[in-house]
Amino acid sequence: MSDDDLDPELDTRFEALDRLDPPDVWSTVAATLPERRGRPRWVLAAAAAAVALAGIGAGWALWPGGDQDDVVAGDARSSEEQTNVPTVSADATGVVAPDVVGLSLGVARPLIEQAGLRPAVIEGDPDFGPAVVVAQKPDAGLSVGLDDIIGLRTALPDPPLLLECAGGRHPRDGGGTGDGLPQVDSVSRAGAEQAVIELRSRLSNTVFLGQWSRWAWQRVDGEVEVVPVEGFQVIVVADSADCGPVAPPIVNGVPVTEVRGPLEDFIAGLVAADQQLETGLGFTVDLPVSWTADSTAAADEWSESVVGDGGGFFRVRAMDRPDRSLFVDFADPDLPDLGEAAAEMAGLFPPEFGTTPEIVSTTVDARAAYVIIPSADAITPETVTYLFYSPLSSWQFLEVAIDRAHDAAVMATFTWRPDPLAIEPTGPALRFALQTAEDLMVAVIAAGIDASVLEDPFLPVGGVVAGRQRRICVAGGLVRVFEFDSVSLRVAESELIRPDGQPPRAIVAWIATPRFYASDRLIALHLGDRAETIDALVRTMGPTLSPDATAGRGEPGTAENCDGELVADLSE
Amino acid sequence: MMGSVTVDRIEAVYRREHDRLWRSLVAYTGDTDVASDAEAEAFTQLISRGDAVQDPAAWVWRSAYRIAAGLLRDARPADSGPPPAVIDDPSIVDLLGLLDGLSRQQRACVVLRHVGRFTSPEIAELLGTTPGTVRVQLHRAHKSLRVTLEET
Repeated sequence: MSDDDLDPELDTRFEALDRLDPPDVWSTVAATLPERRGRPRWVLAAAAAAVALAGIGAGWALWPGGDQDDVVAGDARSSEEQTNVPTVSADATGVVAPDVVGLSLGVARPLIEQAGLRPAVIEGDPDFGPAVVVAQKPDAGLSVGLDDIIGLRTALPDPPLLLECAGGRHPRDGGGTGDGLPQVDSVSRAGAEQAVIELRSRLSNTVFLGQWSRWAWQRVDGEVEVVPVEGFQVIVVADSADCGPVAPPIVNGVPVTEVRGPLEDFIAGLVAADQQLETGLGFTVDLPVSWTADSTAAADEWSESVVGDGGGFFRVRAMDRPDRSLFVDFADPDLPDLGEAAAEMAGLFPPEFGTTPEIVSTTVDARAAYVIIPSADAITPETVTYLFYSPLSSWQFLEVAIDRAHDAAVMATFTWRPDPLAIEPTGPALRFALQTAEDLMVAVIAAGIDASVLEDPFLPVGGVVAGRQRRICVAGGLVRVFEFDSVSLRVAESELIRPDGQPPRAIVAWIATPRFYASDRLIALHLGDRAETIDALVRTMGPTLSPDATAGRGEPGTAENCDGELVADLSE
Repeated sequence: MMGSVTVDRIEAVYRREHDRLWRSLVAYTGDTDVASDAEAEAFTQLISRGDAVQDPAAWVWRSAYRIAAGLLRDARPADSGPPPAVIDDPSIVDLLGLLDGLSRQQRACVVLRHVGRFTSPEIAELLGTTPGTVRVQLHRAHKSLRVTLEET
């Protein structure tokens, strides 16, 4: 690789780091090896694996939750022993195991740690934060010793809502492992592809391919199976009178790309397009692939990048891998204009192609959008880039981009036909771990509603309620968000908010109706009656904590806008 | 079961990658303690996965950066921990101050490029993004750094 992206002057400055003497970190690592009390996670994982290998198939039952020192790698106990009631630490000092069943792993883990205990996922993927804790040992409420391990068993979050339609069978309704977990641990991409191909003779249905971390739902003849695959998911929803052919575009917060039509046609189209690209352009497409949301984007990238104050955000999709995308920081002062961003992106195309890509302006949902189109003979995985400015729900952009950019290519087989019924969740169906204002913003955007974080470094800590105060703009209405370090701290505060909207420790003469909401580590407050803002908060955080609140000395029908001004609600 | 062979293999990775990884984490986080914690946690988790990790070096780099990002995110000004270790080399202090002006993602890209000596595709793999993304971030980071250097 050339060093064209290696700044020589800066490189010299980095040489100063060579004068830093790295400490011996390995001594810290080695201290976690099993000779030490307080088993590290690998011991537990090894123990569970040993049980699985022994054919017991119930690594969870092995975990007694008591004296962790008894649990060593390879300690596969008898079935009888595994059913013993969990014991608690003999030197219990009053630490009570918190109840984390039903919470997402991402929420449960810090809750346990705050109690002075250590979480350990005994069954399930310890890195899969959205997984739901379905069991814990020791049980909630038991007294355990400080620094004891709370073993967790996790399962998938709920599958797509439409899989729960009448006549269908929910994965947790029993059968299999009881919670819908598959019996396989690893299915290759080729294996998943083969599964789709095999299914085509049995189904004339809608196929969903979604890039996500590791899980896929398949529905075949009324049965629901969950198939983990590497790097992408296949969602097959069978046509039936009960269920219909439509699946939600958002699956557990991850939008999926919808492909309609007979499966045979779909497969044939993919293969043909792939061959065309491979032979004509040297562009190899892994099959099956999909356009999806930014499922592979790290959470950090997401939260840092969608911050903006314009009710939307830049999105750049670089086609070097069809399943990944790039967000450009909306708040970047170097990019005040989307057109400039498009020009910058176009200018970054590899110079060896000797072409200046064409930038086509268009609109998506009445918003400015740009499609960067290289000349046909320059299409490579590196040179097809779309850039658009749109809320998350505007996947119609795909159609625009596909039509204009390379409609003969593989992406032409993907279409987007949103079904209004499918994208209207009932209640807080879009379940996100809400820990920061950015989390709430993402959840709101995923619900198809504009939102952005309003940066204001001078906001005080606390306000009418405790916590770090942030502000976000939701559908034109101002929402004050109070962040807490833990769910328990948030609960302690939100329980003090009265149904009439009076906050803890104060009596406030409100100028508009105070509407409080709480979920996970957040309390949110919207002042006023802005319907879209209220709807967004209900959908993402649940019912208001202050159903009896009134406008006080203000006028009903007014609401605080994102500039902090009280205005008549125009959202109707 | 985790065998000593695996631990030995991981220790070999540590011996080979440690200096470069730790220094890059210092540049990324600006904090030697956070760098040490992130690296130690990454190797501990690597041991827990044992032979399941096909490329331990790449895995530990990727994980260390994610852990470091998490540590930085969770850090609170009011944290009552020990004070961070002091870096007294003025050149390094200047460098870290310079990097403070970058976004977190830009900083990761620049550090991985200049300290880690990774290529854009390699950085993309480590950060779970695309080479195009990395090039964009590097381009913008260098531009920003040059402006800062000219101003000073």
